[in-house]
Amino acid sequence: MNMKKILKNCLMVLLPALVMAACGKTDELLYNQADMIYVESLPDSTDYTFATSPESVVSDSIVVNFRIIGKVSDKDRSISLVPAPNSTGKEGYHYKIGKAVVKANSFTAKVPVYVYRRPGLKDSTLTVTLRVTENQDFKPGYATRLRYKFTLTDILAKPTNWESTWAPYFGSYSAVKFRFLIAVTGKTTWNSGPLPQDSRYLSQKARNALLEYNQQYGALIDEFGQEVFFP
Amino acid sequence: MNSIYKSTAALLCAGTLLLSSCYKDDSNEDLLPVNKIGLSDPLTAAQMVVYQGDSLKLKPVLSQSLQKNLDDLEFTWLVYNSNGAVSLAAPREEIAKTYELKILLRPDLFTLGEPFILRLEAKDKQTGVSSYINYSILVGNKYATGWLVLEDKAGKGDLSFIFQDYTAEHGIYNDRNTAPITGPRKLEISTFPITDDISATGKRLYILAEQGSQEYNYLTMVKKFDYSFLFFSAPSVINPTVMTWTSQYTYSGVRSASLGIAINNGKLHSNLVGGFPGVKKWGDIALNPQGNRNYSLAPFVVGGETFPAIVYDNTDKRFYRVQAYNPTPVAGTLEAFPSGASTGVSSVFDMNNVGMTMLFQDSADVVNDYNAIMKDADGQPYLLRYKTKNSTAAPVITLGKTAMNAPGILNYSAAAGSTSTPHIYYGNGNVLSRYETSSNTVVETYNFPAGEQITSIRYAKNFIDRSGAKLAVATWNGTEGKVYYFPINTVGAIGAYNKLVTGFSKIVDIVYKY
Repeated sequence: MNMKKILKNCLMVLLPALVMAACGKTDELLYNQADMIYVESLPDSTDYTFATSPESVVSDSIVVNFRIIGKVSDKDRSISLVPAPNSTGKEGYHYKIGKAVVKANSFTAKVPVYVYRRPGLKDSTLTVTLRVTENQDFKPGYATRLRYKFTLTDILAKPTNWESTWAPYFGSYSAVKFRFLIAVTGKTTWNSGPLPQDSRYLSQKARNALLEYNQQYGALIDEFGQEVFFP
Repeated sequence: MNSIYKSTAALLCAGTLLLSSCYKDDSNEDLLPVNKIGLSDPLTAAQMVVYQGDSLKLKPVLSQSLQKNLDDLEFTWLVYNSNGAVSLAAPREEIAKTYELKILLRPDLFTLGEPFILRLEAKDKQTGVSSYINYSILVGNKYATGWLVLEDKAGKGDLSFIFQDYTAEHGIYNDRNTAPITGPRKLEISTFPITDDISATGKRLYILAEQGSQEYNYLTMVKKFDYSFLFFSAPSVINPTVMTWTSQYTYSGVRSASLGIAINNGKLHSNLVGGFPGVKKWGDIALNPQGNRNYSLAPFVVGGETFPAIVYDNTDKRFYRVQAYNPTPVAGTLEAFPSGASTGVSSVFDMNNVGMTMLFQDSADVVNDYNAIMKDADGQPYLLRYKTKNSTAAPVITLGKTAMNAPGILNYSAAAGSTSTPHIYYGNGNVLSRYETSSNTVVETYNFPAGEQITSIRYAKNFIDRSGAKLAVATWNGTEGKVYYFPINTVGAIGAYNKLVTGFSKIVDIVYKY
């Protein structure tokens, strides 16, 4: 028998064996990389001001949401958060990071960042960027979702979303108008969009309050010399 | 060499045989028949109202294609809450393993006011093939369906309930509440569930009074919240006349609340619900288009598909509309109706300039149409008819303006509009009149005994027992309140009453709840 025939016979034996091998069950595709963590909060930044709160409020908290990539664990795992070098807020004085832990059997974590009303904030705005870094429990997750930035001040600032969110209800911005709104509604957070029932109520409350103010004291005039009104 | 060929052939055969084991048999020949299980029960055609604490027995009709013994089947009854507003993944609980279900409706499992699905699975133990049947139930109590009666007992409010067999239970409010209702005025119930995230989704019951207005549990009639609590900021003066919910949808299958309208001290407050998160409460006073609060609303609100709420100002003598949601400042304020050559909604009369005082308003016999009884400066009563739905092609909503020929209407003590025929029923003294809007005449009267004054009238078109439209008329003779039920025929005739329920104090309001 020549070599060609031997090879042919071998192939005829091997071929069924190979085909049979194709009938084998494929292993399940499971995530087998290291567990990671990323910032879930969107937007991943906020502007915090104490100026919208009464003077009695000396501290508050900003809550940052995190989510893991990978499997849950039966034990608590810590998140490593480090301020970026260009942060101007001083940790331990202007702010403090609360317990940064993903609890056992959980995919998410809410981490409080405590902020403090310090005298210097009356005329300055600080910036803090917290970055997720690797530790024994987590590697950094999505590259674009690894930081949370906040500004901290005690200066009354125009909310960043005034034109998009509040201008339809309250018209053009002025500090006098904003202070009036804060005083009559008691609302302290203005950098996020309201739910429908809240926007209705805020609009109604402000209009009634301005009507009563004007009847009692005359027109409320803003820093530009214009009468405060709501459209 | 021969042995090599033999070995090769043997291997090839073995390989081929093994390969054949991987072949999927798609043949449908020679299948053994399986036992087909059928489950049916006419009770599944509609939702059943069951009472908490009662026992429930269910036994569907079972059929089997192979007539197997029942022992060859495995039965499992499951129950879960089917209120989508509560959860779309409510936990399933196994409650029985028998063919026939016999259970006590325990309060810990069957929450009052909630809908549930009871599901029977019948499984053939041999084949594993299952069949299912679902029963839809709503957990109520004996106050789920019937007439709720608000009474005035020497200035204090109390409730009675008239059951479907026309027996009555009295003293219900005082039996389970301690807070007094002073100067009871009105019962307000929502005909569809409200999701306000203050309390569980469900129908709402409000009792309005000069003092002590509150929200009550719809089924138990136990106090839930003070009136003030229902507002984001409580009104400085509490003097409620209306607290109702309107729907922009006509058909009962999809009716749901969108806009709540409360009239307190003649001023409008609104509430918006609709699936978004967060607590929904009643807002602050709505301003009029002039940006002030110089108005006084009549205690009537209507709403529909185009205009979710329409109210009437007896100070400026005109209608206003209120929008449900609009991402501009106008949401929750009083707005003028569109006017102009192409967009104007008024032609028969001007919605923005009526010039009369509203006395009464109720639904008409056409969906989205409403009748308003007005009085002009000379004391002449008028009937205005308008609708709450229009279109760009047909924007006009005013339908009619008629100087009424209805004796005693200016001093009516109670009234109700028919939603079946063109009639308004009204009471004056002891006389019940049927005013026909199409012919502008009173076509029928009914005299109660002398000295028996009509205090409340309600027209109810649909009943759970499908017994036809009824007119409930409450009277007061100085010592006793009574409720007369008149079966209303297809042409709206009052005829004679066929049920009389007595033993009440002075009745202020009655509503049919279901």
